[in-house]
Amino acid sequence: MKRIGKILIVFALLLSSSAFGQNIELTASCSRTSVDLNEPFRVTFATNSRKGDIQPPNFKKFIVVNGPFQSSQTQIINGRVSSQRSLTYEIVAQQEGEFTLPSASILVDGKLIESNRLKISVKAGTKRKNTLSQKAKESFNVSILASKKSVYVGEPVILKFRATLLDPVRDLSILQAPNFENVLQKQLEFKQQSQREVIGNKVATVLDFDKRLILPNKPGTLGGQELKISGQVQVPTGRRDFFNMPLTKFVPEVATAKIPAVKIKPLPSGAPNSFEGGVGELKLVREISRKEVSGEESITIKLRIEGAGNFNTLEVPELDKPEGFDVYDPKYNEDISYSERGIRGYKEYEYLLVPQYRGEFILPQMSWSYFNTASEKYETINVAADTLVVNNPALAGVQQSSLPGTVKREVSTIEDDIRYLQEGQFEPYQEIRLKRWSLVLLGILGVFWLWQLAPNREKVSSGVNWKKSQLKSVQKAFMVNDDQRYGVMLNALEFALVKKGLNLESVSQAALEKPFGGEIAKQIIALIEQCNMAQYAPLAVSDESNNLKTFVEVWEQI
Amino acid sequence: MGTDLNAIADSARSLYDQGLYREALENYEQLFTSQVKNDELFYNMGNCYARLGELGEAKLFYERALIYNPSNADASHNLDWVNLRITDALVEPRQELIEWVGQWGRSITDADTWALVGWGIIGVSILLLIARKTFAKSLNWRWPFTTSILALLIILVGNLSVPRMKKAIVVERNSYGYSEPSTNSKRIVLLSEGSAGTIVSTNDSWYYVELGDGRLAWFNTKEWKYVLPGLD
Repeated sequence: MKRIGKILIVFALLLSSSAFGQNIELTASCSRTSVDLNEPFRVTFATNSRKGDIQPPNFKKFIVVNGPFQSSQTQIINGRVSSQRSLTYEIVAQQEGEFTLPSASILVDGKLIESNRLKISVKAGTKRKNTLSQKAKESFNVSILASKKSVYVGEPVILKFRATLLDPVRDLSILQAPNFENVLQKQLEFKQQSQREVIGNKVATVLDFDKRLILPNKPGTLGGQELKISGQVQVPTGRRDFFNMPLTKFVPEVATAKIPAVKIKPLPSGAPNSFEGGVGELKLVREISRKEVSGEESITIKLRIEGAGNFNTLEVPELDKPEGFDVYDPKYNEDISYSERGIRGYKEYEYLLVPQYRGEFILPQMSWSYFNTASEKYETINVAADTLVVNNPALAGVQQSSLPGTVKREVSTIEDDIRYLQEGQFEPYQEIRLKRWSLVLLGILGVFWLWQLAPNREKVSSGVNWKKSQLKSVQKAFMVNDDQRYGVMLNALEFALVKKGLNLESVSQAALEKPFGGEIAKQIIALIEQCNMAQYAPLAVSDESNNLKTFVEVWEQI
Repeated sequence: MGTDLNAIADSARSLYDQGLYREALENYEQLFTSQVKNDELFYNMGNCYARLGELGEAKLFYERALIYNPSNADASHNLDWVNLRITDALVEPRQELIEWVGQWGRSITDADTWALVGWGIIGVSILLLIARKTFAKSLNWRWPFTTSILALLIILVGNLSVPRMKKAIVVERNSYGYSEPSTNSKRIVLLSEGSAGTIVSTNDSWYYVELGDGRLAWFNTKEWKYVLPGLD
C-alpha cells in the first residue's frame, strides 16, 4: 500500500514538472477568415495551460450566436504530459468590412498571456464554404411587413415580423430588435400561429412572431436598425443512414430583415384654429346630465373624444364654462385599446356644475378640429349651445342682458339676504324625558313575552290531575255501590301500572317491588286479586270499605 | 310667565326692526336663560348675529334652530346664506348614520312624542299577549310580535331623536389649531369663523377637534362653541 502511495506522489511530481517545463501559449483561430454577411463562423481560443481562465475579447462588430463551448483534454505520450483547453464561440458579422478581432487573454501565475489577433473579411455575397451553410441561408428568412406604405404623422401603422422557413428551425431567438426612431411603438398581443405556404415549388412554414403598432411623430421615412434573428436550421446532408433514412444536420444561421420603407407624410397646411393635433377618425361628444335643475341638484357635463386616432398625444378640449355655476375640477376618464385596427377608445373629462344663481344660463357652443385620415382632410365638429335652467327658489336670481346669448349676474338682489324673524310661542322648554320610562315599559313587555312563552301550567300538572280524577272515579263508584266498582278500581290500577311500564296481565310481586317497594307491591297484588275475584264471584268479596281504604293508601304512594 | 316671555320676544322684534340688533340679542338671550329652547328663538338669535356681521355665531344659532326643527326652511336658507360668506372652504364634518336617523326623527316630531307613541303600542302589545294567554288562545302570535317590534323601533327612533352631536363651530374671527394643547406647540392650521369640526376630547381649556377633511388639532375652547346648547 505504501509502495502505491509513493508511486502516485512520483507520478504527480512528474506531471507538475512537465507542466512547468513547457511554454504557456494562447492561440486564436477561426473556421473562416472571409465570410458572408450574417454567416455564422467559429472562433476558438486554445491554451496548453491547465491554470487560469480564458478571457474572451470584446466582439464589438460581431454578434455571438452560440457559445461559449468549452473543451479540455490531457495526453501522456512516452511519459510526456500535455494538456489542451479551448473556448469556442459562433459569431456573425454585423456589417461589411475588414475587422481585426481583439486578442483573448489568460492570467497564469500573475503573468498575462495574450492570444494572436484574427483578421476577418466580411463581404456580402461571399460564397459560403460549404453547401450546408448555403442551404441554411436559403431556408431561413425573416421579413417585416407594414400595413401601409404611406401614412400621415399621427396615423398608426402595423408592422408584422414574419419568419419563412423552408426547413425546420429550432432555438429561434431575436438577436437584435429594431429600434424605430421618432415613433411611439406598442407591442400588440396576439396568438402566434404558423401556417404552410407554397413558395416556388417548396412548402414553407410561415410564422408571424411579433406585431407592433407604430405611431410616427415626425415626417420622413420609418427608420431604425434592422431585425436579426438566429436559429438552428435542420439541413439535409444528402447522405443516408444504415436504414436508408436521410441524414440531417443543424446549422446555425442568422436572418435579417430591413425596416420596411414607410413614408411618413406631414399633415397638410391650412389647419383650422381649433386644431390641436387630433389625427384619425374621431368624434367630440358633450353630454349634459340634465338641462333643468331645481332644489339643490347639480349638473354633470361630460366632454369626450372617442373613435380611432392618436389618443396618446391628443387632448380633450376644455369646457367653456357657463356663468352662474361653480365648476369643480374635472374628473378624467379614459379607455384606450391598441389593436391591429389601430388605437381606439375615448378620453373624457367629467365636470360638476353647482348652480349659484337662479335663471337661464347659456352653455356656449364649441368647435373642435381634427385631421381625418380617411378623407385626408381637416374636419371641424361643432357642438351647439345649450340652455341650462336653474329653478331653485333659494338661490338669488339673475338679470338677462340686452345682448342675446349672454347672462350677467345681478349686482344686488332682494332675495340675496337672510330671511326675517320668526314668530312663535316663547315658553320655557319642559323636558319630560320619557325615554327612561320607555326602557321600563320595554322591560315589562319582555316579562309578558316570557309569560307567553312559559309552558302551560295545566300540562305540567296533568300527572297530578289524572291521579285525582281516577281516585275520584273509584271513590264515586264505591259510594254509589256501582256494579262495576271493582272494574273501575282495576282500570285505575292498570292505568297506574301502565304509566310505570308494567302490564297487568303479567304483573308479579317481584316486578312491582322495584318501582313501589315490597309493602306497596304486596298491597297492589292483593287489590288486583280482590278486583279479579269481584268480577267473577262478586259475593266472595267482603269488607269493601277496607278494600277502598287500602286502595286510597296505595294510590297516594304510587 | 309665558306672557312675560312673549312680551320680551315682542320687544326684541321691535328692537330688531329699528336696527338695534345687539339690544334685540340681549332680549333673546334673556329668553334663553329663562329655559326657552325652540327653533324660532335660535333662528332669531342667528338673525341678530348675522346682522351684526358675526357669522360664526350666526351659523351656530341657525344650526341650533335646525336641531330643534330640521324642517325649518328659513333657518336652512339663512344658514346657506352664511355659509356662502364664510371664507374657509372647509368640508363640513360628516354626519353619522345615527345622527341622520335622529335628525329624521326630529323632523317628524320630538323625542317625547315618539316615546308616547311607543308607550301606546307597548300597551297594545301587552293587551294582545294577555288576551292570547287567557280568553283568545287562538289569536295568532304574529299580532303581538309585530306590535312589539314596532314599539321597539319607535322607542329606538325616539331615543335617537334626542340630539347628541359633538359638532362645534369657530365663533371668533380666527382660531389657530395646535399640535398639542399648548400655545408653545406647533401651529398646524388656521381657521376662520364659522368653520366647523367634531370635538373628539377636551383637556382643560383645549378642545381636540377633528376637521371635515380628517385633520386633527387642538383649539382654544374660547374660540369654539358646541352646536348643541348646554355642552359648553
